Amino acid sequence: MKILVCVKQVADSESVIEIGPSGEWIAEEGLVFRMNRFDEYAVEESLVIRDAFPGSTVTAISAGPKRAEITARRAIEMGADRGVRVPLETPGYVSPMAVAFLIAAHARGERYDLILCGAMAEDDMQAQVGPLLAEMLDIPSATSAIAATVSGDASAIRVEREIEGGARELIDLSLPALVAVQPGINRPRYPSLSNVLRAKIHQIPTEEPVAAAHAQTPERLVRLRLPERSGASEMLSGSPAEKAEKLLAILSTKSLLQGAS
Amino acid sequence: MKPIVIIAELESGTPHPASFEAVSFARALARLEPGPLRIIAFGADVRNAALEIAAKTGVDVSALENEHAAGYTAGLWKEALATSIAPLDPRFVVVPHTARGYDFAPGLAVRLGAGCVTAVEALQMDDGAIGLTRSAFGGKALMHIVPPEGCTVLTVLPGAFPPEEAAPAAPGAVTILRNNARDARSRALGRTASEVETASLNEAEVIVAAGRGIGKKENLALIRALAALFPRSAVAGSRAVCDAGWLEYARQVGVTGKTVSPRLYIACGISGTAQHVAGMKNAQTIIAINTDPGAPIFNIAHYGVAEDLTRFIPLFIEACGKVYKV
Ligand SMILES: Cc1cc2nc3c(=O)[nH]c(=O)nc-3n(C[C@H](O)[C@H](O)[C@H](O)COP(=O)(O)OP(=O)(O)OC[C@H]3O[C@@H](n4cnc5c(N)ncnc54)[C@H](O)[C@@H]3O)c2cc1C
Ligand SMILES: Nc1ncnc2c1ncn2[C@@H]1O[C@H](COP(=O)(O)O)[C@@H](O)[C@H]1O
Repeated sequence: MKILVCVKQVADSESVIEIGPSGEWIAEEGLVFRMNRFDEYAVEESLVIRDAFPGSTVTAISAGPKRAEITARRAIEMGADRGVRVPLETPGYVSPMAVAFLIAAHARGERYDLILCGAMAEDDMQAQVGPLLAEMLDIPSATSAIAATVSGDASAIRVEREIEGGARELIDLSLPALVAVQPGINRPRYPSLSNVLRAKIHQIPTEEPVAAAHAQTPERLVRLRLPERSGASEMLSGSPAEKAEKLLAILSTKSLLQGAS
Repeated sequence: MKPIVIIAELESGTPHPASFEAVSFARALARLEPGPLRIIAFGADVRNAALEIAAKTGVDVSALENEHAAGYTAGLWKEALATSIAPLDPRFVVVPHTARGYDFAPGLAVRLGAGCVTAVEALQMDDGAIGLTRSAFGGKALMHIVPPEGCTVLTVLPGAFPPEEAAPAAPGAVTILRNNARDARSRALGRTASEVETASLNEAEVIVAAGRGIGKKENLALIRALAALFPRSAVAGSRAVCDAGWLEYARQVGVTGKTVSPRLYIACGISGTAQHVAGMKNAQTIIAINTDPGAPIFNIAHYGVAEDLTRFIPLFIEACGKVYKV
């Protein structure tokens, strides 16, 4: 099987997020960039499927600036066979429509049997690129996959979708298909030493830039802002011990600690 | 004036609550950019649901009946909806941001040659244009997005636009249409319910919840010790903690886990993304302990403690011990 896995490079979410001078994106200087956590599960799933079907290959694709190569390489460190970068130099917000268009342009020529994506990107949180890409390539798709099994003859994939309240629905998709995976579908592996060494010397080719010939102009991000605190919220101040005392006083007044003895 | 089309979601033949929230959202949109509303309901057995929706909202409903739609697949929904929406030439197509909605909405947008913006939680005017507010960066920032000209498919975050209370003057008209869409490439094979064991979380008056910020499984001992201070308490966790295998999934709170409303919810090392918050925002009192003062959980917490939980929880237990001799 020929498998494509989409990996996005995002700013580490533990970093302090500040709005950049344009007011339209975060200030990126000094931030650490890494693979979108949701995509680690997609990479792991692609490796599990590859290993079950001898002769299969996994290609990891990342659309982004030069630094996105590191994320494609990370997928190789985990075990992917090759990495590709689609140049996307526009700083700031990029419409998922444009990203899907670029990845579709690569995928069309390659005839993948299976495309895997993460549930969503930690930065824009649109959860769109997977289902957009499937429609652009005219292949069936399912999101929120918490389990996936390729049929023995590699003609279909059975997907268990996680829906509200922990319930699940089962869907068979004929291949080629696209599946967006949910964290929990597997435990992403850590890179092995041999794969780390292999990734070091691996060239990450850059796709030829394609003109983003869109039917229409995409949506525009006009402003990024920090959320307001709700009026009802109070940050406790003081030393850690003082905060502990304050919290204790609050809980006692609300008689929430009553009966503890 | 182009119409605003709302896609109702049905669950075993009855309207899903998110459908009514989508109508509220569409009305808010129409106040900013006027246009007539129309609801489309799609399913195998839609008649009763369509009548109920038309009666409760006063909006006209087109009910698309298709015997193959007993089970959901994105392919079938996209096919049926695209062919019935395209002739209406709408300005907006509003879809609930549910496990179904976010599954088919982007592809539907591609078919309609429309734009797509998901998980919209607020609306306002931005430089004379409609601005859609949605969360980004795990809820640490909010985006204001201006949709493109033409048609845009929007998914609405459940809980953001409460359904209207007032009954309409008159029910909307219901048109039942047969729909012949097929999806030859995917097949729905049915549903399985979630595992049971909800009692302990539902009955608890106090829930102490662990997030990825606990750092390692061993630190659950701290969370358990904190919970032990309260009678009728239980330990829960965020998705990240369950995915890591530190807690069983039965204890996950959020959209794909349990919805809880205890008297007190203590979120420890939880960032506070919309998917988690959806499951606990109705707790009477929310306390958050998180090292990052910018963590979105502090926006909904009643009391915030910006500290390292491994340091703070022992201090708090000690303080309790002094008073209550734990
Ligand atoms: C379709 C879908 C459904 C989902 N359903 C759910 C769901 O039902 N429930 C759910 O919870 N999530 C759900 N998620 C996942 C959700 O988006 C988040 O990824 C998840 O909730 C994050 O968990 P977290 O807050 O524990 O981890 P993180 O977001 O990684 O946050 C960890 C926090 O810990 C803090 N921290 C770090 N160290 C310390 C320390 N020493 N002391 C104190 N604080 C510290 C950090 O500042 C950070 O804020 C879903 C996602 C998708 C796409
Ligand atoms: N720039 C990108 N490069 C590669 N894959 C991407 C990119 N953006 C999004 N994806 C994939 O699409 C999924 C959903 O992203 P999004 O629609 O941005 O939330 C991610 O989990 C990735 O698998």
